[in-house]
Amino acid sequence: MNEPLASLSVVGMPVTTEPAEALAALVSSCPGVASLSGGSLGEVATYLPGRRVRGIRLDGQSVEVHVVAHWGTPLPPIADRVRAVCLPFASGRPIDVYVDDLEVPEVLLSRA
Amino acid sequence: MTTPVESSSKTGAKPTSSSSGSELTTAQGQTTIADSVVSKIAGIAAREVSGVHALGGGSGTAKAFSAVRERIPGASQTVGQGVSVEVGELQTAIDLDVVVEFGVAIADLAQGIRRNVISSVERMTGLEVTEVNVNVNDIHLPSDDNQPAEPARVQ
Repeated sequence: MNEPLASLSVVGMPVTTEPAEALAALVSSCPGVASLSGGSLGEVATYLPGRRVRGIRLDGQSVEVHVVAHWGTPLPPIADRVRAVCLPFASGRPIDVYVDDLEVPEVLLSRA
Repeated sequence: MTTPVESSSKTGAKPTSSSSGSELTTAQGQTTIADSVVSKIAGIAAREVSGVHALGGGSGTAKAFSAVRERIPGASQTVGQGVSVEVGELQTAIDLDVVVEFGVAIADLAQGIRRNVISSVERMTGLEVTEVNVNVNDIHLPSDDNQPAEPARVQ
């Protein structure tokens, strides 16, 4: 009957999560990380059927993670935490962390 | 009035890099910090020094651009305005365009800006700041604030 539907969740999304999606969830929950960044054109992503994962490139010779950091935290420790989270996914490949932007609170922006 | 004060040494600030133990280049991969990140940090650090009226100003074209930007709806005042940076793998160089308040010792202020920018950028990014060039483009007079528009010369 409707056998193929068994592999879909209630909202119609596939139940299986790709490594890139799992990694994106882990990285964006790292302290100091505001969000994942798609680069200046939004092209940095893992392209999956029907969706894309912004800021993560898992295919190729390296693992590439692009993030927007929160204002006020030194960036190297943030990058270290991101790298630690990525390690299980890297399988020996280098993990390159790109801090593409900073999220600055409005208070600091408005002060002229 | 334009008073250029340039200096390319990092006097008055000690290098703080490589003391944190967090390196940008590790055995497991590189950390790359984008230009906009460095310019935001430098912009905020320069602005918070007392005696700095604003960043930017500068040449006629720069002023014209910022005047246009102010009128574009949704275009926010960028923190990176008046800041240009070059970022390498381990080092960065920063140029600042500054409008100072009237009544400050400009050389001392430039030194204060330099110290704050270097310490902020080095602490936040782990990059070594090789130089901070401060261009004082204008001086802001107290009378500039609430000056009514000049009356028309002809009726």
